[in-house]
Parts: sequence; C-alpha cells; structure tokens
Amino acid sequence: MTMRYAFLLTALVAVPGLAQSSLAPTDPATVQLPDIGSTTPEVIKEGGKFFAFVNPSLTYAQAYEDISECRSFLPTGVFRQLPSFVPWEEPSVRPPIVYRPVGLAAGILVSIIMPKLERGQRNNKLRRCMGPRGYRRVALPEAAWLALNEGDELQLIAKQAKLATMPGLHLHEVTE
Amino acid sequence: MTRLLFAFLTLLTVGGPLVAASPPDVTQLRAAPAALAPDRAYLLLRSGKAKSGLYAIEHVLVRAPSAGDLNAFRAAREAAYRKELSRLQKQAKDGPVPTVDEFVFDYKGVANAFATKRSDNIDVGDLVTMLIEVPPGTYILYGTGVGSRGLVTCNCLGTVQFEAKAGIITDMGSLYADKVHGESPEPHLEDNLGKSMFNYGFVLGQAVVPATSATPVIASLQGLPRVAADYHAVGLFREPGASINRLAPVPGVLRYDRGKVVDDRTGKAAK
Repeated sequence: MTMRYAFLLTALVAVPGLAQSSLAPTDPATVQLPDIGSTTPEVIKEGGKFFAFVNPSLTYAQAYEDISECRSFLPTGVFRQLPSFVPWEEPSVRPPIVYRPVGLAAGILVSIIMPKLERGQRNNKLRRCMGPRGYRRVALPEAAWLALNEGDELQLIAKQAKLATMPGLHLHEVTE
Repeated sequence: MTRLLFAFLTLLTVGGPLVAASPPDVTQLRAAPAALAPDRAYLLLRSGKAKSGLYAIEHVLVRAPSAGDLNAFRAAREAAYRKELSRLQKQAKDGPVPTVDEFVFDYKGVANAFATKRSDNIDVGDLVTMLIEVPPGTYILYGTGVGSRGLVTCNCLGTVQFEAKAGIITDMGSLYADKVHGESPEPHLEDNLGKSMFNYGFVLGQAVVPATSATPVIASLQGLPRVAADYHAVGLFREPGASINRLAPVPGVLRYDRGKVVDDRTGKAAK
C-alpha cells in the first residue's frame, strides 16, 4: 500500500528592495516579557536551538528595526529549485514547494526531519542577519523561546527588542 | 548527515521537474568563439573548485528583467488571476481575497535566472574558466547552489550587479563559493560562521575578485574585445526559499556597516 503525505511549505514571496516596516515600534513600557527562567545545564545544552539575540548597547528602537528587518526573511522553504524567472522589481508569489514522500516509512521520516530542517533554516537566517549587527546569542528555556517566537508578529518583535536591549541580563552566551 | 537529509528531500520534491532548465538563450561555451555575435553578450569568469559531496558549488546569476519581460510577466499573471478569481473568492469566503500581487503564480515565460555549470568550461587550471553567452543586460550575483539547477543560498543581505553589453566579453574576474559554517580553503570568503549552522541547515558563501589589467586571460580569448565588469553594490532583497547570506565585501564597491549594505564608491546606502 502506498501512502502519500504532502508537506506544503510557505508560498515563496520574492521582493527586492526590502521594505521597512512603516509601523512605529510598540512602547516598550507596555511590552510584557515571558518568564526567562533559569539557566540550567539542559538550557545550555539546547542553546543552539533555543536562543535570543542581545545587544544592550543598542536602543529599543534600533533593536526593533533590526529584528523586524531580519524576521522579514523568515517565510521559509527548505530546499529550492532555481526559479526560472525572477521579477526582481516586482512583488510576486511563487508556488510552494511540495514534498511527497512515497511510503509510510518515508512519510514518518519526513515528519520527523522537516521541523528540524525548518528550525535550522530559520535559525541560520536570523543568525546571519543579526550577527553582523553586533548581537550575541544567549540560551533560553524552550518555553521562553516559544513565548518569544510564536504568536502575533508585531508583539514578538517588540518582546524580542525589549529583551535584546535589557541591561544587566546574565544569560549563558551561545558561541557554537 | 545533513547532506543526506537534503539529498532525501531533493528526491521527494515534485510539482515540476526535479531540476529547472537553464534559459534557452544562455549558452555556456566549451571553446573560445572565432568571433563574437554583435547582438549577444559574453560573461567571462574564473571559478574556484569547491564541492559539496559529489556536486560542484555553482554561482547563480539573474538578469534584471527588461520592461518588456516585466510587462509579459504582469500580463500573464493578470490573465491567470482573472481566470482564478471566482475560485479565490469562493475560497476566501468572508475573508480577504488575495490581490494580484499576492496571487500564487508559476510563470512559464521568459527565463532570466541561471547557474553556472563548471563542467562546461573553456579552461581548467587553478581555477575553472567559463565563458557564457547571454542576452545583454544587467546581471546580479544572486546567490549560490549545489549543482547547476538549484538555489541554496541567496545573497539577499547584499551583493553586486554589473552591465553586460552586446558584442563584447564582460570579464567578471574570479568567483569563489563554498560552505562557510566552518573554515573554507577557498580564499576571500566570509567563513567560519559557526559549525552549528550546518546542523539541519546549509549556508554557502560567495566572493568575487574583480578583473584588473593584471588578471590572466587565456590565449584563445586575448584577441576578442573584452572589458572588466563594472560592479555596483545592491541592497537587501528577499528570496525566502533559500538560506540567506551576503557577498563578501568587495573593496571600493561593496561594504557593510552593521548589516547595512553600503555602496563603497559613494559611502551611501546601496539600493
């Protein structure tokens, strides 16, 4: 018996001349941060997966702009065919990539690795974009990471910007 | 392990050919021509030899579409959108209907993106020399791929473009690309980005060393008209399917200031 699982990745939007968010940053005084918890050996061990960017020398507004710009690269696909036509000056949306493993074993394997591949791709994008802007990575408990990365996009950016610029944070730096 | 996983996903990809074809009006030559066609442009480049597994790491270029290309694209998309509009309205129910700019559209018209193919070359020394016959236009160093038909990493965080004119060879200089999570033996790259960037991820980097009067040119090309590519910095762009990186700084052309792309000729932000 053949089973087919279709994994649709986000439709691919190609837009040159990246537009900056025209929305003013949320007032940081109104932004509620999740409980960051404590830095346990488990948190340190998983720091390569679950981390936040920090740079207390920057202002909240600067961090908000940086995070907003870098997160705009996140709509994701994992593996790309070379597009035949790139409109360059023109916004466009290409069809999503579809992975269709044939057979139960392949389906199970894909269902295991796809979330890892997507998280790896997402982390790599943020690291490559935020690193040259002077941010360090610090390890977070998974629950805090989820609270900072899932939900309303503008709220997430505000929370991450507030955390990034908080003085006196003593969290384990991720260097690998 | 990651390489195996990517290979596995490649085999699973459907919804079109596994590999996209190069544009029909792009020809990679395997010998120097006796003369240049007056209506065609020619890109000369020397490439490093980095591989990922069995596959060459290649350079992806995009020709900025002409007004005619864009008009044809817009017309085809508009026609497809009108055809699908009633279905989109039904699908949306009481929600917003996608605009034409948001309409998912697979364009089958003129192609303007291609990757180099190192096996089709005109000389192999320390570097591989390639000569590619293309339509005249403005070309962007768009990114890098593994093999000649995929896009792994875009230069979305900064790159360069140049003009290729008809009837003359545009010498792009020397290009290098490799995996850059660790240290690469290829020179000029921004590498050592962090070994964990290869855990369930894949980041390639690219660098260009522009041609100068001292750049060696193989004997069979020396009698043909040739000009060095005049590179200009290009700012951020989005290509969400690929991993993202930036072209390594090119002194006098491209530099970065806290992640912002700077035109090193003017000191101003690149567009």
